[in-house]
Amino acid sequence: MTAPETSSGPRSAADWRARLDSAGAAEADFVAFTAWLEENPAHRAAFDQLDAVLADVDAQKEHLAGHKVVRFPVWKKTAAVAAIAASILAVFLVARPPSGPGPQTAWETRTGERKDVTLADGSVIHLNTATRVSVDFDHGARNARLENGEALFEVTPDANHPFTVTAGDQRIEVIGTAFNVLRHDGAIAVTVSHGVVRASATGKAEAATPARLIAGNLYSRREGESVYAVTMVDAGAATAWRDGRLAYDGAELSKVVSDLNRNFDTQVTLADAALGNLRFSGVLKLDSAEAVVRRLEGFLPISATPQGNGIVVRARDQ
Amino acid sequence: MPARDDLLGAYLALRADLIRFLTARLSDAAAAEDVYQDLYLRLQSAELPEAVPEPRAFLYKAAYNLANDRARAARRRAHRDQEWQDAGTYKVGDVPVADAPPVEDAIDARRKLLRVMEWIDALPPRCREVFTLHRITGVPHQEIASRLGITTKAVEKHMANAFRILGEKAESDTAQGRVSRDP
Repeated sequence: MTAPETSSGPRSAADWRARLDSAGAAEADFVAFTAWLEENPAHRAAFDQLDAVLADVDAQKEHLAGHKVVRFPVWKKTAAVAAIAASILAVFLVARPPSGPGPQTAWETRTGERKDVTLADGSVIHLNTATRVSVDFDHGARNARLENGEALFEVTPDANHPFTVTAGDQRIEVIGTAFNVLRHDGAIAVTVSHGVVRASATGKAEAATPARLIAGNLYSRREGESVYAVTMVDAGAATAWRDGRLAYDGAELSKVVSDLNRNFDTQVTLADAALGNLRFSGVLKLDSAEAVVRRLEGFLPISATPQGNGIVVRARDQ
Repeated sequence: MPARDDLLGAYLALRADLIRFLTARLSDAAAAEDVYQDLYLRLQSAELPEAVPEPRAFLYKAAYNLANDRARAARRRAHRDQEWQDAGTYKVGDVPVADAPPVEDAIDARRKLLRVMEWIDALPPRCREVFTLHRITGVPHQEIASRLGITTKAVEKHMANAFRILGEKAESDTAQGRVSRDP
């Protein structure tokens, strides 16, 4: 049986899929498609093979979109941004350009304090303890600077106005939506909760290509160095501080202590640096340095004693 | 309910054609009968538009969607059985344990996402725009056409082009022995 095809008619599985997925698919198309399938068993196999690929794409739909759909009336062609996420964001884009010239604004938190700030474009910055953030929205640009500390950025997508965060010599360009940045003691850590982020060092440490991070990625680097590491983490743990908790999965005690010291005035020190290599997994409620250290004693072979205004942690006597 | 009456009339009149179509699509006569029956149940229970101008095209499209779902489910089942067999070497006592550790699952999921992103990245810009709007966001061809100021034929061409490129990408992934494909 011969298919009633014109030279411009569908010829491959891809052509047929595009035709039949359209709302304009007519009865005649399905009859011709039947004929095409009957013509050669390989045609059905090719059609199924393509469907398997589309199943792979469909399975990632939520991650690729990352946002609920906001339809907006006028479709504007966005600048050709290579990243796929950008083209997706453009779809969900709320037509809300950053408001005109505004003064540079800064916010800070004291030790133990946390604060949420909503910006003119609807983006939200959650400041963790002892953190200073400034924002410059002049001339439609969206620039934020993390002077020190830790902040979680939830960025309102706007493909025409990229959102950039600088932390020391670290530059983070937002393609997607939510990520956490920590700058402390010369270390930078960026954890992405949603969407896609481009991270690059600036100045001397600048590398040829920026790192492209997706949800669940932890990017870490020492300031001034161009070497960075990207690992897979539980992004929920990295932002647990928003609920007044710290979550760890096999973290070194030195990291836990460093986090505690950012959160409390009472400073914890390790009597022996080797103790810093002990590993801790679990969730710590941030009530007070004393209470947290007491809980850690239950998990690790350590004992804590008050000393001056701080707490000293030693190896527990066996 | 005239729309439903029209459709049920067309459903019966079109039986031979739909069975032939479904048999060709699924290469399984029994499965074709199943889907034809299923289609009837859907027509009875589904919320239908006020009027269906082309009842026959409507029925073909519905049968096409049901057949695609069925083929996809069958592949998924086959894939799971295969995984179960492959994983059967992990045993606790005499009981085969097929569960991968959650961490591996998470990494595998991440890898799959990255791979799909790579595929879509490989599309030419306008083609990617159209594909993303339709497949990811679910915007109909007609609406994409009016948004982008192109014809629905051009939308269809972009979609066909995207399908072709994605298919080639996936094939070269498989050829290079990268991640095995989901059903």
